[in-house]
Amino acid sequence: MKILWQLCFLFALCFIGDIASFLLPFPFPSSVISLLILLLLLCTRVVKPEQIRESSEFLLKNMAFLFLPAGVQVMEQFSVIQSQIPVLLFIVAVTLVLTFLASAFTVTIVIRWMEKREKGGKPDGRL
Amino acid sequence: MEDFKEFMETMLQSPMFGILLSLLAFGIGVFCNRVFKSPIVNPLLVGISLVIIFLSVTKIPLEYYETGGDIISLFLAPATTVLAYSIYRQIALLKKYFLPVCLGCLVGSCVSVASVIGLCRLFHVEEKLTATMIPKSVTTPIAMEVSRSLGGMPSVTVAAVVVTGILGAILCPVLIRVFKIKNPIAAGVGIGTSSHAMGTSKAVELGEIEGAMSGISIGVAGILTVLISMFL
Repeated sequence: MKILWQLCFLFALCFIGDIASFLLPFPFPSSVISLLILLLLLCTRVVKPEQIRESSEFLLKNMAFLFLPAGVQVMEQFSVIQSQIPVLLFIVAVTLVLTFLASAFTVTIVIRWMEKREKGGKPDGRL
Repeated sequence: MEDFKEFMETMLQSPMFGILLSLLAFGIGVFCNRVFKSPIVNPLLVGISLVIIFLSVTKIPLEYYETGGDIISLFLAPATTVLAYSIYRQIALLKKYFLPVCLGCLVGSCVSVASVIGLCRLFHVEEKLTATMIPKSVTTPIAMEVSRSLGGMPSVTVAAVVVTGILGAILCPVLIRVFKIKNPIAAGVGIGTSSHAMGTSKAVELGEIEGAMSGISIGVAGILTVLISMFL
């Protein structure tokens, strides 16, 4: 029964997300609305993490499987992307490196700046 | 013979066929991953390939598979919702490093989106395919939604996200060494922002802080990318 209630709660959130997404004047993914609502409920302690633990951990652990049918639909688009695959792979690799370096260096700089401000100019590089 | 063919035709349209085929293919994928222990042998990638090969060889129409497949895809919405649960589990760390994590994810997500658009223009990749590639660095359920709302092809986005994750798991440890990123928070946020959950599994191996930071960044970068994509 416990897991049924958890699923009931999660699907209710998804339903609210769907309704909100339909009503919003701009396109916003309904599942991300449900995510934000759940995060708000958890942060305000209205919902305790233990109350949704079993279903949440099951879904998070097995999430990769849920993408399989979506991925299989690639076969319909295969003729469209076939000729572009090498270019796409190149783009994926280059943007990956750029994204990693941009976020890693931003964090390094911000942490150094925060340490400098706290310790009055004595950065030690590591928190 | 004709009777048998008709019988099979009807049976294959049962949703059980698609669900069973998906579970079997993914199971084999997980098994192969355990045997080869390499990020390239990714369970999802192996599973998708096996189903595509099976459907092509047996000439079973994709629509028959999808009656079952759609039922599995239905669970993507609650699975995305519970990402909130995984963010919340790290909320203490997120509060402590709120500014560096959020700024890191923001700059990273902006660079990701901008560099995809820039390179796609450079190589004259068509609009629809560019829209498909834009969210490739964020976690799959969010990436699919962003791709759909930008007019891309969500199924191709799934493939791009998986390939990004695999490459990230391989490249990120090398980048950390080459560019001498000593701060574990910086390394974690970098991995989570650039290569979502698959990179995170690698980050967990690097260290506890790297893993936790990478996990937080998946959610934060995902939400930020949705917001960025609204301005495109």
